[in-house]
Amino acid sequence: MSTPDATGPLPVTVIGGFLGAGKTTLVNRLLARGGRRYAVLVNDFGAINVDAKLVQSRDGSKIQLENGCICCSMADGLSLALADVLDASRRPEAILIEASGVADPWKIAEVALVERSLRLELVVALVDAANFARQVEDPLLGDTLVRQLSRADLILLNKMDQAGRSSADRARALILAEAPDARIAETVAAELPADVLFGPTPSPERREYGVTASPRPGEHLPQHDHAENTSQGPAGHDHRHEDAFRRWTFVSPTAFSRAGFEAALGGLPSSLLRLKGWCRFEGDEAGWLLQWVAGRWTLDRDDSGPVGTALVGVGTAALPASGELDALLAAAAPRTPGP
Amino acid sequence: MSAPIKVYRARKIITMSRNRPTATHVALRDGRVLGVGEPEELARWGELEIDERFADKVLMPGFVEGHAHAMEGAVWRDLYVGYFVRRSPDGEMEGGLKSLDAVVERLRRYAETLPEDKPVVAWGFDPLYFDGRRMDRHDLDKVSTTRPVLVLHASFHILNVNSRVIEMAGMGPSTNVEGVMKDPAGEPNGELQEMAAMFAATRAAKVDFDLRTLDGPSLYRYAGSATIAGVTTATDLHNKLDDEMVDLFAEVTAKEDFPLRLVPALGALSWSPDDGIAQAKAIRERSTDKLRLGLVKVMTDGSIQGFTGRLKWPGYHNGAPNGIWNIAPSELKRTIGLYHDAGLHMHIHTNGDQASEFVIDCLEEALTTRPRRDHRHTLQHCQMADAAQFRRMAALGVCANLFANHVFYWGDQHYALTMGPDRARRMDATATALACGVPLAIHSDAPVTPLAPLFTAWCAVNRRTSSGRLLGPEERLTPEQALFAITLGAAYTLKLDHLVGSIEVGKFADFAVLDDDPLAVAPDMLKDVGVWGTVLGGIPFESPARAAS
Repeated sequence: MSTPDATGPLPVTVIGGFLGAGKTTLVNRLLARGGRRYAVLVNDFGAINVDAKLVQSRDGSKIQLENGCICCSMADGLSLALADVLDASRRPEAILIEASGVADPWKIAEVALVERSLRLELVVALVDAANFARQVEDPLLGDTLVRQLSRADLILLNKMDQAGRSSADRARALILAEAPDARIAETVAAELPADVLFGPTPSPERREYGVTASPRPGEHLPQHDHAENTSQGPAGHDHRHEDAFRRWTFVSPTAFSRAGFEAALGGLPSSLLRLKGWCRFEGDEAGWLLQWVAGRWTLDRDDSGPVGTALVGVGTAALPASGELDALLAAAAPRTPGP
Repeated sequence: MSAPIKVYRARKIITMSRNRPTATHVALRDGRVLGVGEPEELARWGELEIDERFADKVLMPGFVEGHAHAMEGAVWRDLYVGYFVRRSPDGEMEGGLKSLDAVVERLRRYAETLPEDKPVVAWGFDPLYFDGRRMDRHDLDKVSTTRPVLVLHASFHILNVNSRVIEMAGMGPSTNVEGVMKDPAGEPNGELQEMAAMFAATRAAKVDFDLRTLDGPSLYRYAGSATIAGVTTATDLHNKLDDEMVDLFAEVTAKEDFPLRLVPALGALSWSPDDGIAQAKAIRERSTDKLRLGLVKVMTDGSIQGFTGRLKWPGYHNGAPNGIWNIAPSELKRTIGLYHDAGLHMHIHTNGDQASEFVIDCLEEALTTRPRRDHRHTLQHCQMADAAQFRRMAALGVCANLFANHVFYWGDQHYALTMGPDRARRMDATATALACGVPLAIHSDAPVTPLAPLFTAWCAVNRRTSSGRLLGPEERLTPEQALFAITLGAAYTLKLDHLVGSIEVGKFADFAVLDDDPLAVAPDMLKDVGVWGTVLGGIPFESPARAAS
């Protein structure tokens, strides 16, 4: 039974979007998946639909799963549900909040930015690709739908299997009109690669510098090589969700100027969703772990990585080519060439 | 031989009954009204024992507060620091603090009365009247730099804290959240807005503003506030009402010295529709004379002054974006339909006119496809409904409980910011509602504004804002109409008009005991009519305010 860090801030992921966009599908999948002991806070307790075999116990406001996850109702409000989770004798490893169909997920996410026992991981908003353009026409609803997308880290244009190209494109255009920098990815049944949800998993092993390595595939990814910016899955296998995301690996033996590196982080393109890995700074013996999500980032001392810099990123299909991205970071490297 | 019949003699009894509008004697038996009339008429029931204690008082039916919250009893655990004077449930006058310095001074004195290890917590703060000056952490540091100081605004959506709380919560220049206000140097200034920032601060300071902490003492405090105001029946108009909470209500209201009939409403959004309907029906069976269960509350939008009410065109006067829905309109329609079909009685919160219109649409659909006589579904607040909406409500048999106190407390703000002059005139359009034939009540929403039906009636009769502006004279009620709205009118919306709201044979002997005749004083003095206390089920309860002096 692992409690990796009983005192550190708990990562919080918020899932938003209107009714029918696929929020519960995503929540149910995460609950059933296990691997990470989530406390999942939901509005519509009745819609939670996990395999009965997984359920350890259940009452009016909580479902305890065999895999360690717990699902809690927010019927008494987010504050109470959150306080219950934080005060529980056994803290979860992460918190997942399913916003109501009319809530602004960013408003909820802010609690993780300000409450010191929480850390915001990701705000995902789902959109019903087939119906969004019609839904935003509704005078009772349109402003609410736009508001809940405007500050999400990632917008999933979901249910692409049910949406025609033209309605999906209209939805995309409507979103971009309100939020020009939105990261939009097309999905079916809210299916997401693991590195999008949980962060990429850079390898701490020493690498031969100068050679671009592939990230280790996420645990439920197909076991083929995710060469950067491609998705060459075996024929006949549906990899549509892979098309929606592109990856980038940056490996360099050199130490950065810290100020230059931090400035470069600020200049990364909005299509990048996550960047994670180790880096080194000039005049600093320590290794540093970078965790960058949608422009929010932390650098923490961590010597478990390689001697140089090894970063793995994932972004939407709009992510620029690796060379362009490499150049953004290379600008922060000192003038002297590496070995 | 049976005991003599208790008769209260009063200077005047205003019965609110057509049968005998005024009288001087009321006879009681078993906590009910046996008769109203002259002593010789009443004596035909048997030997009378005339109680003269109210000989110089005026009796009215105990007032019915159709929209308030038992949280009124919980907030008084902490210090009230409002701009306006307010009477605590113990009868003390609190607040009336007309400057920031006065607030700080009051907090400082209060802090001295608390144990050293206790945080200093206050509520009801409203800087609206301080010429734009906001409170910051330096003000509260004058109260203490070593213990947490937290001051909740009257809106309940903003919190001011001192530097100690900022430090405990670990907030700093890098805390970039909209709700954490900053000073020009980029440091948090101690003003925290909305859930996220308030959650972090209250958690760090270990302060619980939570409704979950309703307990016996807070219910007694609520009843104390009611007695001071002449109220004998009051709602708790949003409560989850799980079995544990119903047990608490049942235990407390059963006590003979508990001076209030409570009407809690089950918050529909706290349950799935199936579970909520089952719970409402189950607890309805646990109703007693002093605890009436079965009412259901449905939330829709937010508030006008918080810019969260859902408005129709042209929206907020200052250009603020439209407000929020608590649940999706489609879900709202489904929920309303299901509770209606289940035969339950709904009170539905609507502030903005888009919310009230949508709820009227939902009720029209439900009532057209599944007609139900005498449902008495009621729109609560319903502040921006126009004449057309009231006409539809009348046609559908929908009642309105309007938030008349808004005219005084936020009327100037509505005029200048939220609604603009034209729409502000017809906020809480009491006279239009009556003219359209909509059954009408008016309310305080305590603790949002003070629990005081005579003040609420004064607001509806005079429509004066706190700055003295006459806001919408066409919507003024007559004193008779206003007194009806705080008695039988409110009782009707609760389906309790056969039990309370007028002094008539067979109804509970519940009276408001007044020093003066509210129909004889000048209309602008209505709020100043003194309240001795109440009689509940025949038992006198002197106002804690009187008992204290």
